[in-house]
Amino acid sequence: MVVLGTAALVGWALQSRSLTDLGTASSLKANTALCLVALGIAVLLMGTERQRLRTVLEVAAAVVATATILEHARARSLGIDELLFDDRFSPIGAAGRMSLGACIAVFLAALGLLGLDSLRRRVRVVAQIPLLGAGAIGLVGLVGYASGLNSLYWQTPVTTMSIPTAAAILILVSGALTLAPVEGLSAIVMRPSPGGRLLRRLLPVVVLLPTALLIPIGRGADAGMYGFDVGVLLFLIGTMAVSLPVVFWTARSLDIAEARARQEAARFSSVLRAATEQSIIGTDVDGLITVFNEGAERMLGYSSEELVGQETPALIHDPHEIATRAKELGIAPGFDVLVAAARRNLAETREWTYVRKDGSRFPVSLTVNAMRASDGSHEGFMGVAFDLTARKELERELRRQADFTGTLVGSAPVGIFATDDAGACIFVNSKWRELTGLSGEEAHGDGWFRAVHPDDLKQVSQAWESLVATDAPFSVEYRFRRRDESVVWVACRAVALRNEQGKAEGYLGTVLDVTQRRIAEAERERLLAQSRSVLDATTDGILMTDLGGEVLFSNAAMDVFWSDVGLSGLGTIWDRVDRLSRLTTSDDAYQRLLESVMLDPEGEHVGEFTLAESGRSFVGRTASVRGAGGVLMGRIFSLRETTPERAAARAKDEFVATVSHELRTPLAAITGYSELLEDDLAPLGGEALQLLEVVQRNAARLARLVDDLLLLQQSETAGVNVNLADADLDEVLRDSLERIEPAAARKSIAVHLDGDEGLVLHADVMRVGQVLDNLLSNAVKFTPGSGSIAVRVTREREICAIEVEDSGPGIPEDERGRLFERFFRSRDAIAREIPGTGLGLVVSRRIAEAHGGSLELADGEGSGATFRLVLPLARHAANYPALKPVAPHADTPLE
Amino acid sequence: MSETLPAPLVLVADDDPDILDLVRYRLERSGYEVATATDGVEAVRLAGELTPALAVLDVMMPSLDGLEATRRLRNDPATAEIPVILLTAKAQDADVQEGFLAGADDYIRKPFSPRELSARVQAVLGRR
Repeated sequence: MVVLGTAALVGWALQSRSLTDLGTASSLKANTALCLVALGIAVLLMGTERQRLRTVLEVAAAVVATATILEHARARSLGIDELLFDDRFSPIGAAGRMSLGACIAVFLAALGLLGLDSLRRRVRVVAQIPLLGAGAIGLVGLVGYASGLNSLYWQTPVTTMSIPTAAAILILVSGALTLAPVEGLSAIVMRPSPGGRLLRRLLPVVVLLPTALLIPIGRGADAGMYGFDVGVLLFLIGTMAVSLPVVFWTARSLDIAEARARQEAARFSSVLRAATEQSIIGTDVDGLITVFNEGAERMLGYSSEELVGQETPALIHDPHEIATRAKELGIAPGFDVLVAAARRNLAETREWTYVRKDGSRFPVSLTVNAMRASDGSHEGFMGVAFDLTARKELERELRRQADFTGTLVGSAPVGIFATDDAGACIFVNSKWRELTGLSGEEAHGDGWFRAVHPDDLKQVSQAWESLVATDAPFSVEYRFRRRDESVVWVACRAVALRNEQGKAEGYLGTVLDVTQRRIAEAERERLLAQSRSVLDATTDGILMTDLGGEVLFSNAAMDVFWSDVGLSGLGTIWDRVDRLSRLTTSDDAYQRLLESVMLDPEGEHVGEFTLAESGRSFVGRTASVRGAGGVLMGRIFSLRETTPERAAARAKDEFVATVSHELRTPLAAITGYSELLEDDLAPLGGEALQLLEVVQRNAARLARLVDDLLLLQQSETAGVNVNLADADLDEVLRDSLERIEPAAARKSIAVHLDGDEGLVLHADVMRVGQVLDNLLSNAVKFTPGSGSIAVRVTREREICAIEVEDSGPGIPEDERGRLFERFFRSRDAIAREIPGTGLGLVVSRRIAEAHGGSLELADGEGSGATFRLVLPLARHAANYPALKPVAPHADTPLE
Repeated sequence: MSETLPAPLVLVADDDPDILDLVRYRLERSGYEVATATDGVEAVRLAGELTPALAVLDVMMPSLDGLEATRRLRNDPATAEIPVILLTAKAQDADVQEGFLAGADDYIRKPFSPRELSARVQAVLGRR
């Protein structure tokens, strides 16, 4: 068209009719050509960036066309028609002036092209109307020329134009509409939809068919072959005959297309219905929901009606997630975030959080695809979502279990290790590493054996091998030796991990630190051994039983005893004692022990027995044993052999008897023969008799000394034997006073007796007399000549006190403590050569004590000493506990 | 003591000759006939042979002591009726008891007064 216009312009420049008319009967005016060239260039520039140039060209064409229209309307020249070239060819109208039809067509075309450039869609759509108008003018002109119906191009001012002009306009319009097809009318035609298809089929029939029919029919009429009315009829018939089949064909194809579409839709909806476990949401291009299946309804709590056509899927998404994702993509939050990938034809699967109608949330996996029509056009988006709640829950549970196990293994206070099926270590926990001092890498494979103490290595590896080889239970206590040489005792257990077929897939073991226990055990063993050796080292037999009498413990001495009596390994202690008692000299010993233990189970019982066969004697003791918390645990039995003591005691008795015999027999000879002599000398009188009396006195003294010594010895081994009987104290006193009378008289010492009378003692008269003799004899010895001695008797409840007071020098403070020691003699006695052995007071005290009484120095201060003898009275003697024989004195044995 | 009646025979046994003489001397002075023995066995034999009116036996004698000798005398019907006075240097009461248990009629401790011995012999014989 540009070529056409340019050719016309060149023609005008050369004034060449052939170029301006281009072989037609009408010429293309210069201005028309100019306008067409401008518009042609503008159309060519469509789709480029030369927006401004295009606008200038279009506005220029519009201005020229408008000015020419004004010339036509006012019927006067504005001087623009022949501005460029003279028009010498135009047969009609003003010279060089554009025809009215061309003006209007150019104007409309320019207007339309301007409109197409608009930024507003609506303007662009409307702009196609003037373009179509321009096209219609061009078409009518062409048809008029072609059909010979000149009224179409000649007689109607609006359509008057030259053939080139009409053709150029037509080309211009169709070019513009083709090049800007995206919107408006052309877009409708180009659509792949049934409507588009309908247009594409029917438009040629509607537009081209009448044109094509009109040309031959018009020419026929023009040629006079038939009248105008026949022509119209022919046109009508022709049009109907051609268009009807096309319309029916089109209708049928539409039916087929729709049936296919309906089938597809049905298939689609059944897919949607079947997918009840998935949420399927379809949207249009802009995001409005078009499909909301049952699965989605169930999952989200919305009904399809609530959402379809009203909302976008952004509604059911967590807004925070949308916002976060939008930031990642660098776009605004909203529906576009969901379909960003789909818009680029990428199917995208992501995890999102859906929000139900009630506000609750759940995780989903959402796959979004773009939906395209069969012709590839973009129809919208389809999102298919799976509820991930269960899977998430499972994942969480698995993770929780893994965390749990991990935490357990990591924080367990026991060492934990795992091996593969061959027994090679593949894992150790931190406690294990701490126990061994090895790292996890060092422990791998057989590395862990390095930590085992060399002395235990054989035992451990054997046990481990038998676990792996024969599934023998692995439970071993052994030592780990760390690099720093420190040793830790562990109790290790291991078991096989078996798969479903029962095959060992590996081994799992625990290692418990038992060092403290081991140390405690060793300490206990040591203490036990120590106690044991101490007990074994003691010569006394010691044995412990439980409450039932079962022997729990028996030391070496006890074992030896049982073995000596031939009762080793017998049952309970009671069986043993029973058997033992038959071997003793008193066969009811067992019965007595049993009775006393039953009477007082918690008390201590002592018994002495002698074996009949060997004569060995023993003292046995038994007492209850209480454990921690005072709970009765059993009894302890101890046994001490008293045979040597018995023998010693017997030897002493024999010694005493022998000494007694050997001393008394000569004494008996001395005193006896003295008496015979005395009998012979008595009638003669004289000095010899006096000499003989000295012999007799000293013999008597010696006899008393022997008696005292023997009494003392006796009191120390067996206690003083006293023959207790009721005795008249007055008589005992009188006898003693009579015996002392001669000695007292010799020194002119007065002896006074006062106090209570008529008291009855429970005592051994002989012994009490011996004590009184001793006290009175001492008093006489230490009282200077012409002194006095006072004997006072006082009754005090169940006892009586007999005080013997002398008028001697008394006893110095420092000697009082030793007064009752054997062989003690006071300095005064030694200095004044007062005879005495130092035994009298000792023996007297022993005798008093044997009666349950006492003998003390009551007052030794100043003038004289007072000795106080306390003895029990008869009426209370039976109830007086101290009357029982007292234990022998052992502090001063007489060797 | 009458001339017509024969003096009672007293058997004295002691291993100590001085004591034996002392007792014999004292008893003869008191008008008894005295037979002596120096040990228990002899004493028992003489008692069986002579059937004395009384026996004074020392407790501590070799071969057979006074206690055992007393028991033998008591066990022999021929001598069972002979009174026995034991003479002992043993001082302890247990010994005295043992002596009486053996069958003695009296018990005299050494040292003793010969007068007392004589009196006791007379007392025992008088009791019969």
